Amino acid sequence: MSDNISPSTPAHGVRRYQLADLTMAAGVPWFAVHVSDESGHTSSWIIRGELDGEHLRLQPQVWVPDAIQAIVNDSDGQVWAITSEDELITNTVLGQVAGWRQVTPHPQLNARDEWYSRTLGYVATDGQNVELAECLCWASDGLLIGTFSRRLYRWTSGDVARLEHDDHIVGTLGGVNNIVQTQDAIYALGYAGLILRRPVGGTWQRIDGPWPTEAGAFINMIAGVEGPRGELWAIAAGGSVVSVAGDVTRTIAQVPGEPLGITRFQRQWFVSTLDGCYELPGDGDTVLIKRDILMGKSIDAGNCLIAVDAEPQHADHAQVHLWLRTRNRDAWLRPIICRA
Amino acid sequence: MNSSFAAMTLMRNAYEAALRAPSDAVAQAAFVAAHQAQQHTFVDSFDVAGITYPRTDGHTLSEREAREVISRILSNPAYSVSDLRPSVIEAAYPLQADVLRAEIEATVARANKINGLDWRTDALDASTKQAMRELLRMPTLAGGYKIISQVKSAANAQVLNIYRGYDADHLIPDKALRGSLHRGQSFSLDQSYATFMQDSQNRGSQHKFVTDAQKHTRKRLRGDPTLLAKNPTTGEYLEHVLEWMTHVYTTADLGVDVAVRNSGLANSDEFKRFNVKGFALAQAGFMTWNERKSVGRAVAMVLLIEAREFYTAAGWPMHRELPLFYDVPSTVTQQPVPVT
Repeated sequence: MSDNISPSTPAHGVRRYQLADLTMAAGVPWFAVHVSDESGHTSSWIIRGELDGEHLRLQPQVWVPDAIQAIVNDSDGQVWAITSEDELITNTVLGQVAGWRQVTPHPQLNARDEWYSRTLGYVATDGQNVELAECLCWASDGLLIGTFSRRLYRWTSGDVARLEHDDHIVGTLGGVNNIVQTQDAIYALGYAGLILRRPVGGTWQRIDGPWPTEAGAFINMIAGVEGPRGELWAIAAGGSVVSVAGDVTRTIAQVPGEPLGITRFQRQWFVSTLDGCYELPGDGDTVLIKRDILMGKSIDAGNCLIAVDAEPQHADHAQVHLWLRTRNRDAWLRPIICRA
Repeated sequence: MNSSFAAMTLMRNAYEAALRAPSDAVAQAAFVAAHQAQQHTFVDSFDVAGITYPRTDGHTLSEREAREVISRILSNPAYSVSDLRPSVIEAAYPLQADVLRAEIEATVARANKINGLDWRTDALDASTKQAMRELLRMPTLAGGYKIISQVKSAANAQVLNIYRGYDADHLIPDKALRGSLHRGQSFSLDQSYATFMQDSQNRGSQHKFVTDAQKHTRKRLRGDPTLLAKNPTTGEYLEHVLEWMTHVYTTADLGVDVAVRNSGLANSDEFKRFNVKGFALAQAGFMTWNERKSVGRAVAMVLLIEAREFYTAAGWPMHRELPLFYDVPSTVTQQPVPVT
């Protein structure tokens, strides 16, 4: 697929960059960026960021021959990513561990982390499944992987991730969009009104949302975050913010825009939407913080909030919205992560 | 609410008042006067989500008949308002909700008929095709869709490229049928059909869903990666497309995007100006979920039948092999480092 690409290919218009996912690890933001070549094949870069004043310094770290579906941190501050072709990639030094291959360093980059990869299989009790990974989350007992078939797998070591929970229904499409950890449970959110909870030491159980049963198949839970009292706050397509506390689910706010992300940032909660950024004060209200920007998934990066720019200026740019909020500065910036 | 509906409401209120007070000569006379004043007022259009749609059925005929019945009864001194059956009044002077309900039921009936077809063999008659097209791409106001389609066909008159797809939709053919060719991808302001429908990012968005559905289908058709790849026929592939398009049109929100020129909708102003909203989708909020699903499936089915006809006419029959897989090169060349 990539056989006729060479570094001398003219840059104009043939290679396109698009932000695929972002995460915080070891106190700095990391970005997974898709690059689409002229044959339409997607490969990926992992790029490390560091905020230097108002300037985001960026270091491309590693190139991966397929599309990275998700990138996530672990408790040691290392980065893990999974591709559409089931490659698990990390900068954890695993050179001594059987089964891991070192990713060939890029000839134009030097003095970067060493990266390792291995291919995973998805195993259920009745054999191996073909899966497309959608999202990742490190839990105390392993790496949780949510897939497009609305199944949840857990990987600890070796070649296979094992089925944890199966919500796949023939004829009902859409996957797991997000896996979220709160202080006393882990939640998986997705299409078909999926809200799964696993309490500490417990097993996965499906929770009914605050909607009529017949509507469930059409609800799309997009993302979640831990709320102010340890409960889950999750956003649904259409703009509802749903609170899950114990077995009680209720709609706590309605955001007037298509939501794509929810995050806690400096002790406040924010929803990013295609119409701008809204704060959730928790009293049922929504407060418009920044209008007329298209914000995707957002992360808390300490003194700034970083969100996917869902409408970059040009096709060959991967961009973010960056809200810098420090004691003496409050500004919205739009840095470019990379371009051709 | 438009003024015709206000007249209908006025009639209903006059009827209620006359019914409540059979001995009140003023109320009786007020109803008769109102009937005489409004009997030539018909509702020609109605509003859904701020958009005006013309009514589609032969409604004035039945309304006229019912009004004639009312006139006949009122002209006979032996009868009074209380002799009129409520159903006659309802048929003669429909309220907004009744009109909408009738339109929805007509739409669902048509959808169910379409859903009984086999997309691989059956053809649609011109009126069904047109009716579904109108449902999908109803003008926001008179002229909207016509102007758009004229601009489009003028722009594309000189181009014969079967990969461009038939008019309808970016969701089927771009990558599905691209082989080594590809249509402009909807990445950014520069490129997009709808700016928010991005390829890689925005978990929970429609375009991410379609992108992942394509990736997942590809993986499933690929099967065991250690064996030689076997390409599907175009028909086999489109069988999967029907599933995800059904999902898309069942859950679609109001904004249905449309490519006005080959460049796409170049900026958000243009997008708003040309924003074409589908009637079926606009009224979706008034449908039951099952009705919505039938309509969603029918829209997908019609588009697929049109696609089959289009590609067959262009010399690409459904049994032709779709070049989804190539020989994978033994070495993968790294992409050049992007500018950060």
